[in-house]
Amino acid sequence: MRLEKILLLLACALALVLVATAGALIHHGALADARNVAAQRLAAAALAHDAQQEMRERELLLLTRQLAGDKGFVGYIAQSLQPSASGAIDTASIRDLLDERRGQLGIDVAMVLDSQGRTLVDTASYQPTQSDLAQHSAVSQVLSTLEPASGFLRGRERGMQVAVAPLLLGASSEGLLLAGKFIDDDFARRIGAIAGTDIALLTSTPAGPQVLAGTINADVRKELAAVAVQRGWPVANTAGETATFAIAGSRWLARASPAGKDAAAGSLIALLPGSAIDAFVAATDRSLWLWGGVLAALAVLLTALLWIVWLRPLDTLARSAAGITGGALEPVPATRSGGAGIAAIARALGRLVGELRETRDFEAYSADLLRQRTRSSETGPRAAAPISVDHGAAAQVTAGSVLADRYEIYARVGAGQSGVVYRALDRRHGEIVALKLLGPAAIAGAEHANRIKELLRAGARVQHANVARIRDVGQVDGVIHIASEYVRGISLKDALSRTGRIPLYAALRVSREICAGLAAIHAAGTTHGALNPANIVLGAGADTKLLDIGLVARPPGFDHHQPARPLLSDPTYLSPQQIVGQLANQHDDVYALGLILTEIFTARLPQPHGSASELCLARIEREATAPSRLWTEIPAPIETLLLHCLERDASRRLPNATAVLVELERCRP
Amino acid sequence: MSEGSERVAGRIELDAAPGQQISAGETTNAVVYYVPARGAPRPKADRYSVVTRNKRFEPQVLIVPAGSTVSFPNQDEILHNVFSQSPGATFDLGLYGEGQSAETVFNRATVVQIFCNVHHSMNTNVVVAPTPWFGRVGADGSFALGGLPAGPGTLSIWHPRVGMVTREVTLPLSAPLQEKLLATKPVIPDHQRKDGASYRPPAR
Repeated sequence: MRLEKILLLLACALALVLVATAGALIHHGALADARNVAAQRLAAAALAHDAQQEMRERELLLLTRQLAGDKGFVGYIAQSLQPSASGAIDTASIRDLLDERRGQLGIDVAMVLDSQGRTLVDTASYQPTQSDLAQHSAVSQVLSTLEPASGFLRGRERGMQVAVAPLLLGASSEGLLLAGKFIDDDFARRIGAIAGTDIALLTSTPAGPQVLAGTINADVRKELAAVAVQRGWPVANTAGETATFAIAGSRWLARASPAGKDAAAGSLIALLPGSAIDAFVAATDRSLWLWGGVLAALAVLLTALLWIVWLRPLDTLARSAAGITGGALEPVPATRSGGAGIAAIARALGRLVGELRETRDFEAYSADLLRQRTRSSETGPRAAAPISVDHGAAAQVTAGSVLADRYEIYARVGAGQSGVVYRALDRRHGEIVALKLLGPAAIAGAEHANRIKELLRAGARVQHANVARIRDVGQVDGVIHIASEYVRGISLKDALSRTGRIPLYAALRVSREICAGLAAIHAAGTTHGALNPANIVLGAGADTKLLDIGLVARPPGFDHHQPARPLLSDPTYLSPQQIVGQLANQHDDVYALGLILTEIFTARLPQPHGSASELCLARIEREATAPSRLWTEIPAPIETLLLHCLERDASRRLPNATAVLVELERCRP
Repeated sequence: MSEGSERVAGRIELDAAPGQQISAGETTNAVVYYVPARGAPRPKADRYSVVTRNKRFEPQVLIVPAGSTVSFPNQDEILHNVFSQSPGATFDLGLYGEGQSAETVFNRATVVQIFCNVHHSMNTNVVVAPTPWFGRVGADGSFALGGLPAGPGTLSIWHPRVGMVTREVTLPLSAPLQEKLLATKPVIPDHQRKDGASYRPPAR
């Protein structure tokens, strides 16, 4: 089992390593995913910015086109531009009109430039008056083409997206209209909200990079400007560059891209705090630790469970099996775990041990018997019958005579209560048989004779290893003869008288074989009728066999009003019902079986010794003595079984030998 | 002018129709004039003035006898225009700046709505009365016209939020008139620029 244990531990370790490896892979995958998502969000910020910027550009171009196409608007400005007597132009009217339109149209700044690109009116004082914007890309384009154009304009503090259109009145150009929207924090916040990132719009100033607008606070802006100096933003290499750096003590992931086609637009810096990635990975890690822990715990638990439920009982069984191999037939320990499979193996092993032990003990017992044996024992009753019986003609047969033209008598083997047994040759089949001739005392009357014939006929059909088979039943000159299987061995009665109690395992085997034989008889629907130790032979082939099937004992004729009256037959192995005159049935067989088994296990009968009449009285009136009082070490299940066989009330007894056999099987260790 | 000794007097109460609001002092924008059933004598023309100041015409309602001349001096620092497209009284006094003025004669008895082509919110009304008996309503809503001939006649009441209301009366009156007017019109009348275009650019 050492290898199995090592393998189980290795499997557990492998499972843990797999869990750890899977966790590490998922962690790295999550980190890569988080970085990819971050990069996508940063790229999305640039797309959102471009879309917003393009939308504003179109809106501003549309507004300037419409205003410049409004003759009333252009005429009013044209008239305001007419120099007064003092040479001044009416900037107040222009400013008033521009302010009104600016408010109506939701633009931040509106300007009117003269035809040379100089500012005349600026609603936001965004540019110094008379600033020359002629060099501004959009303005110069409009001056040269008289077609609307768009671009970026940076003032003192702020940047602006602008559209410029010519103010044409007929064929004459009255100046230029410039409409602009600030690139401010609101603009950055809208982009940031779409992309889910922070935003900074960076522009170059003579003092260095400056954050025009953004969603980040002043400290971060300041440090971002410093980072921009290091990296050359927004002038150099801002085409989708992604960088990681620390600002204000925090790690940031940033992607720089051009903020517009016009270099004046500067750079868009999309920012994500490193904590966004960390949080994503941390969330994954939390799940990983949780589920990894659960899986690891499950692996360990499963290993422990396998160890306890499977490996340990298997180890126990393996040790038992090794013990069996080594000759130690110790009982297999009961396994409370291990499932049905292990339990089945344990039962089978236990049964095997039991059977081996029974065989070993029985062989030892048999050897012991042989040692004590003074002469060969053969079929038939051995001991002197307690009641002297006259068998009449049955006892007159001599060796060499032939009975019924079939049976050549070899020798008289013995005599019992019912008749005399001869060893004879069945000439018809050329086989040695035990030929029993029934004496006149064996039959009490017509009813008894009928019962015997009935049982003999039925018994002749029984074929079982533990039943001596009846081969022929006949009658010659009024003498009934029964030819049956000739069995060599020693009767149980002799064995018990020589050895006393049979050792437990050997006794179990003998008991089981007796039960099996009787069960076969009962299963054939008949009754043995004369079961007693003298009719049971411990065969030479190690099989126990039941003899004299059907030779129902003659009722003893006991009368408890006249207990002193001599009995007609031996009551030792009769049931209370038989004692009072009933002819044997299966219930009586069970009672007799209970008596015999008690004797096998304890060497004593469960009634006090004394006269036959006293025995009859005790059997009728008192419960059987508990077998544990006869042998204190008798296992409790066996005692229970015996008492169940020895119930005085036949209806409370086990119904037949099959039921006794089932219970006996359960008594096996 | 005095053709009799009768007097018509009363009080106007201005209420807002559902969805409208009136501000304090709006009642004083009401004007009245009386025309006897037998006809009114030709009133004496006079000169009147509506000043453009702080992008407003002042007063917002002017009642003048038919044939009167009204000048529109611009006291704002920006250019303004004065025009009307009221039926029977269309005119365009052009754009002019601070310190400049333009004028026009109102011969036909009607209500003339006057606007600035540049500034949508600027509007004034000149009620041209066909009678010498006209006047404004006081701060408390009361009015009184005196020197009227006895007999039947029509009292006309006009307010920019209400329009024209006429009452047939017979003088002398047994009791002062009580008129409840309902303001159903907006403060700035719905109007277009003189070329028919909208003041508000359509871009947004």
